[in-house]
Amino acid sequence: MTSVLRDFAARFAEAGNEPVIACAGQTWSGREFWDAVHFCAGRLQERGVAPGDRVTLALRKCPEAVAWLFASLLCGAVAVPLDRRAPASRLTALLADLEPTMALFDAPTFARFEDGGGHLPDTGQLVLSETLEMPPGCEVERFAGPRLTAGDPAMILMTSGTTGDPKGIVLSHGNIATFSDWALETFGFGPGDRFLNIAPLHFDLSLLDILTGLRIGAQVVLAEEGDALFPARLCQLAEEHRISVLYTVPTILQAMVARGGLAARALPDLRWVLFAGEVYPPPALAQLIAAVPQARFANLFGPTETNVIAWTEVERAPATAGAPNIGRACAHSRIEICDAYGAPVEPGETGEICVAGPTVMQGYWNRPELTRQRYFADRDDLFRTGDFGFRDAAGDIRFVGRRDRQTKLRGHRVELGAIEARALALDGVAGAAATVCDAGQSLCLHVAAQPGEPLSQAGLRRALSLVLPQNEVPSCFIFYEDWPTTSSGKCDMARLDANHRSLLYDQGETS
Amino acid sequence: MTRDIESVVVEAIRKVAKLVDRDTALTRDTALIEEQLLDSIELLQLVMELEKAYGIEIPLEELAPENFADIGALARLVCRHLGGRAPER
Repeated sequence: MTSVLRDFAARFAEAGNEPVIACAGQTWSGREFWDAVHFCAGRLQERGVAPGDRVTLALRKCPEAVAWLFASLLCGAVAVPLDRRAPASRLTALLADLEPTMALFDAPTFARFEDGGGHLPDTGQLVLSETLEMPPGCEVERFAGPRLTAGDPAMILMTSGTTGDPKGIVLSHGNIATFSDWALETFGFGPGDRFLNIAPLHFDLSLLDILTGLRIGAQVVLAEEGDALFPARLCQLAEEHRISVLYTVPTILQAMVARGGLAARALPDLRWVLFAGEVYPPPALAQLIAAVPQARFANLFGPTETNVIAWTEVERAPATAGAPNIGRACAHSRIEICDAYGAPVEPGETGEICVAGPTVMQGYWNRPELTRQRYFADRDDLFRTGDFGFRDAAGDIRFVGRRDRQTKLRGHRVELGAIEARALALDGVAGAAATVCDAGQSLCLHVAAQPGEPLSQAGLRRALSLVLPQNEVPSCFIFYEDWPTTSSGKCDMARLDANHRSLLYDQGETS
Repeated sequence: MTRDIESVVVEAIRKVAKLVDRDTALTRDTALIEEQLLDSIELLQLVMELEKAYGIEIPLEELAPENFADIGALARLVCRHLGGRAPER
């Protein structure tokens, strides 16, 4: 169980013509996929990629991108899927920090990266991978790859950081295999299942669809990147491919129910609908259950740093009141609810959700101090998730909220502090406070201007879109001459938020 | 006629898309989805703007990637719903 790759080798040694990956009308059989993986691995090795080296993937999601990902793992390298839409300056900084031996781009992404002033670190060799250029019918040499142990790093997933600098979550082969083993056992996935992959490759939800699905020889249908905008398109894919497992965020599921016509689709094989990443509003969850009553539903909980650590199967009539139930610890992990010093709190009392187990990340890439801060000073066995909760009378964990200002915007994790840090770095900005409003749907930036410095909404928006991922660029700006503060002199977030609500109301009146 | 619709589409996109401002070049071939110029909320706002401008109703099942790929595709979508009528504005 050291690496999920061992299963792949066994699975694909006798891989045949059964389809394993489908995307945009293209279908790869098990043999084609495994050939492509070895072809890519051969190219990585030719270019000197050695175990532990980083391989970055700024690639449009497609079967080739998945083949490069597996090829990196096969070579013992650390695969780092990147958000290819990130601003060039951000990608440049990421690449400089990751020092990849190989930086993979597709041609349009690389053109945009260069046009935006991006550049590669000296170490990175560039490969443009529009197609694999694999000659048809060519014999691809198979090789076993280096021997890997559970502690060897397999992937780095990037998330935004509180200082505005992204941080890389280092996951080992053991981390991924533990999660994958757990998912297989818990949900009973088999080779007959068909997974719809909606999440981008740099989002941890893909670890279930792609790694676990392919590992057992199931079929994985990749939604294209733009498809997530079109709930009807996602429903159509699910129907067309007779999807049996769907794992995504509540925002997307809600859209599939409300605007994609999910209930009207023929989905006879849909067995499991899994969701994670944010709280599913109970009334909307009831609608989902009514739309696809043939399925079972489970809520999975855990930050990217730990992957899933708790889960619960959702009852037919989900509770509509009280703190959301995130269930119990997965079999592989132990969860403790702790006070600020790492001591367990009484049952029913709210504390920080902390975890010990084999899915906890190896650490943040190149950020030992930041990694250390995720543990209590005198307890290095318990990882602090930053989420707060309590154990109810039945022993289930109830979710209360986040400790810091990391929050969810349309299902994606954003650090409000990171957005503020970027805004504060701009000329003329004296103060900046980001708030999420409209029930997690929009991001508002409150800005105090330096006296005599004219600031415009368009100018700020343009400046921020150069340094922030697109989903983190605020949609609304409110300017202040006088910053509301609390008695301690800190920015008064409650007043800012109230101000924003009244402004929204005013706009509604006039439009 | 689609030329006129295209300029209305461009105007609507400039109104709803936060990543688009006066300096952003928008042509018939600008890849709206590929370039991720619209997010899911803005996409719906755009549909509402176009429905309002032309007094049409675009059914949910036509909210599909191929109809939003670029400005030309959006103009053709609107045009189909006008049933060949000239826009009433």
